Amino acid sequence: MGGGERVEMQNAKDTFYVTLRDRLAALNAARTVAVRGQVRAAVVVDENEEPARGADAGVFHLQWGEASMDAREGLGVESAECRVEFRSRGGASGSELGRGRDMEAMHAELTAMLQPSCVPKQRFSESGVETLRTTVWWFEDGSRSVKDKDGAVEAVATVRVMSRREDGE
Amino acid sequence: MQSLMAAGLPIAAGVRMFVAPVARAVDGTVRFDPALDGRFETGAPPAGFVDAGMLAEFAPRILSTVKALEMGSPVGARASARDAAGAEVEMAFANWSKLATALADGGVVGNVLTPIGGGDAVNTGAAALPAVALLDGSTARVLQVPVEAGIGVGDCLVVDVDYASETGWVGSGVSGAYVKATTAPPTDVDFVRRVSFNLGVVADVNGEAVTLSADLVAGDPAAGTKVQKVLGFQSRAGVGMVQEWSALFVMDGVDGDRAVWFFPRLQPVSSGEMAEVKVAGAFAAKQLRATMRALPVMDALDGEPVWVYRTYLPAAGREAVR
Repeated sequence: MGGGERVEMQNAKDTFYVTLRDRLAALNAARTVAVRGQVRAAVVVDENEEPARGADAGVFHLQWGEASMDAREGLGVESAECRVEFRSRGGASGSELGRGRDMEAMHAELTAMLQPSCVPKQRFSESGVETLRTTVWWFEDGSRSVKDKDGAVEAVATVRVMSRREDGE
Repeated sequence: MQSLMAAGLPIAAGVRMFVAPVARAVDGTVRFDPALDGRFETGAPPAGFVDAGMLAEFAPRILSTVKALEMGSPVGARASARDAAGAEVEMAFANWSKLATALADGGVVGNVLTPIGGGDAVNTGAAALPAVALLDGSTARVLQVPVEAGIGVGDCLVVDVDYASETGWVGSGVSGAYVKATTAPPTDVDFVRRVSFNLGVVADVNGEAVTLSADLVAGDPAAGTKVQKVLGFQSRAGVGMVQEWSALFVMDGVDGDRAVWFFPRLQPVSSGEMAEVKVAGAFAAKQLRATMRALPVMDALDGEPVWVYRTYLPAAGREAVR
């Protein structure tokens, strides 16, 4: 492994987030969130931004774990765990039936957002978007956990996101 | 000038298998051209090949060994020579299917036809509902079938000819069985359809037009072809016939590289191997497994016998020479 080397994986993380966000926008244009006054597809990276208060339900929250590097010869694979949390309070009715249906829809949306599971890696900067030479790929690691919490039902999926590091990253 | 990245090791989520029947009656194998077809889309395999799905395991083994030629004084290795040659491949299938059953069991895999009812019990399936002749205009994907046949979406159909006491290899597209001349021939007019690989699953029905989910392996139906419904598949252990297939194994790397193993001729070594995959509690899945032996073809390039070709196609912009 990396032997203490700091691994950022910023391009891979950004690519994964943008991919999920754009796919959700195409899948369900009605599932949106307001962040700093802007309405967009309901995927947020918790370490970067906070949605408006009370907007936690119906939103896919991405939480990144520490990244690591498998530096064995010929591999050079960076890897990070991404927790995807989402919850439902059951819409306006707040009923258990409504929560169940909403969660079922979000589970299906997340499954669809994760496919295909390999995309070209991109570098996002103020000057634009550059497509790099490697890819970002991922798989869902284990089954999703579901629990009741504060009147909402909450699910967590764990996704392992990987990429090969390029020169200059 | 942009520097090249090293190719590295191919990383992939699995290996996909494609098979093509070896035309046993004419001793013919399909060809796989890595220059023309190396980058084929997995949804559109090269002509003659059909998708056998992702494999749960894939382990090719080159059995060639090189022996030291010892001579001189003191005696020692002075040269090397190829001592033995061959190849095998071991695989585990992610799904049960007619094709996976045939590859895993290696003999005759029959089709259990829908019975007419009221007849005698037979180990390979009772007398079947009479086959229905296809109407004009049927193709490999869209069959024209009289509405009275009662075909519905989701039905599995076998599409093949009546048995007419012929001997040798039978079955359209793929040799499903071998009828020996020395034994009494089958008497069942449905015999070819009972062993045929020319199968399809109905995706849509619109009047007489029955659309299948994929093309029939034998292509457009020949004159005299009939259709029957299939309930399932039955493997018969101990039957003399040995399956033979050409096979492609494709591993697509995450960064766009591809490795392809092409076995021109594969025959089963094992029969009926299974593995158990624990699910939870008392629940477990049974996985079909196969070990197949490669047989050689004479390579047109230099007349050398070849058991397996492995092609590596690097991703664009990768250094894969050194």
